[in-house]
Amino acid sequence: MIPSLLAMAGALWSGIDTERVDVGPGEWRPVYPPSPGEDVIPVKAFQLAVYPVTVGDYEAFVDANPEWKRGRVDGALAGDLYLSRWASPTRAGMSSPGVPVTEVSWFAARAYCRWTGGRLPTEAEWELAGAADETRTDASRDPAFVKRILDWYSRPNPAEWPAVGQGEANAWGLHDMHGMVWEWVDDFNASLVNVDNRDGKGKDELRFCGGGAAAAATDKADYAAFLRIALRSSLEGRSTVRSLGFRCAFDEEAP
Amino acid sequence: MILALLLSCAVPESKDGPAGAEEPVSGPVATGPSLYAIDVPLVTHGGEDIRLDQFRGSPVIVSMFYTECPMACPLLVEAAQGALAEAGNPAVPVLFVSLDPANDTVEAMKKSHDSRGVGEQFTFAAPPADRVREIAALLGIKYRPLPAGGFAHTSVLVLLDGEGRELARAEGNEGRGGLVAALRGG
Repeated sequence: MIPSLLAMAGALWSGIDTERVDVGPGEWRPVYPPSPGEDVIPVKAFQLAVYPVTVGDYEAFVDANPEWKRGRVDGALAGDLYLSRWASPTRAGMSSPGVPVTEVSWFAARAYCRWTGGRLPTEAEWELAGAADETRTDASRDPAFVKRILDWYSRPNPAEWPAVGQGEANAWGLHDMHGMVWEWVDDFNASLVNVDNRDGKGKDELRFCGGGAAAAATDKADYAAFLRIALRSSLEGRSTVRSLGFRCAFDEEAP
Repeated sequence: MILALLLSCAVPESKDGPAGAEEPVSGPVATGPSLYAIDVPLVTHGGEDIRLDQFRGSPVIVSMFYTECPMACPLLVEAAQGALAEAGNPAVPVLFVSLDPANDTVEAMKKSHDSRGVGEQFTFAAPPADRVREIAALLGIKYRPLPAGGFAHTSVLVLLDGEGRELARAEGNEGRGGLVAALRGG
């Protein structure tokens, strides 16, 4: 597809961050397996961006794709809070271009990643990548690691986030998977769909919210992962949340 | 923040936009987001290239399926036929969009279309693989590929107005009375 190749070339010329690292292959064990056959999800090797997408990156995207300017986007694709803290429709006006972009919808995050030749990571990919601490690729069952994440979840949002990449990378070489902003995944609302879907709507959410899910969770130690699923399942594709950003995944070799 | 998110489980998410209360109303009125906010190419069971908004300008029943679906999708096709019959067979087109473009080739869709005997009122069509989730999100359809093959997915029929906005939906076995009423009203 020539148009998308041109768009990707444009993205690479615009100076956005495209640094990425190899992640996986591996396995993701969902804390809440949606069906008996889904307790272990194999994850193929992929690349993931080292940092969340920043406001500087996103400014370049909006410049190249004016249909994604605040005020221009169709309400079906982004909620009212879309880039609402930006100083103008095209400039964030924040203390640093390295601040992670938030208040972007899933549709917008998808469009951004496609523009850079990538895609949003799947939930399994993100969770595999996010299970690592600074030294181990899987720290997800370590109570100290989980507590660190839960402590972050309980802190209020700052008025403005610090620039990305200031802490230590995790064992995959990824920065800010935890402790900065929540991140979109491509299949954000999929993990609670019942396999037997002839029962109709609502049952999956009921099962989850009614308390049964917490008890059904395979490993109560990873309550942080449970909360991430709760967050994602509460979203719509057009949702724009103050503390929700994203990073892109890639299938081809890192440049 | 977490508390707010968890609470949102229990409370139906509100739709944006004020209800246009003053206008004279005949039949259902749609104010929500439009499926046609995205432009996606589709290939039909007949091998025809169309766009997602092929039926813009008139009401359309839209759903998502995949041809290898053993149970829920055939029921969904029957539900659409049943709703149309109950509404007195209005000439409202029905568009079934594939969740599985990798396997739902023109040949596979043609075979499925023929075997269901649904006629040309029904269009089976596949989008590019990387656009499936966007269509699903706009229709409020959730799905997940299963390790053993196939998909877990919301079974739903959505009636859209001429601008792609939802007039009514019939989900699972909740009954299709609202959909049938809207079909009659339209």
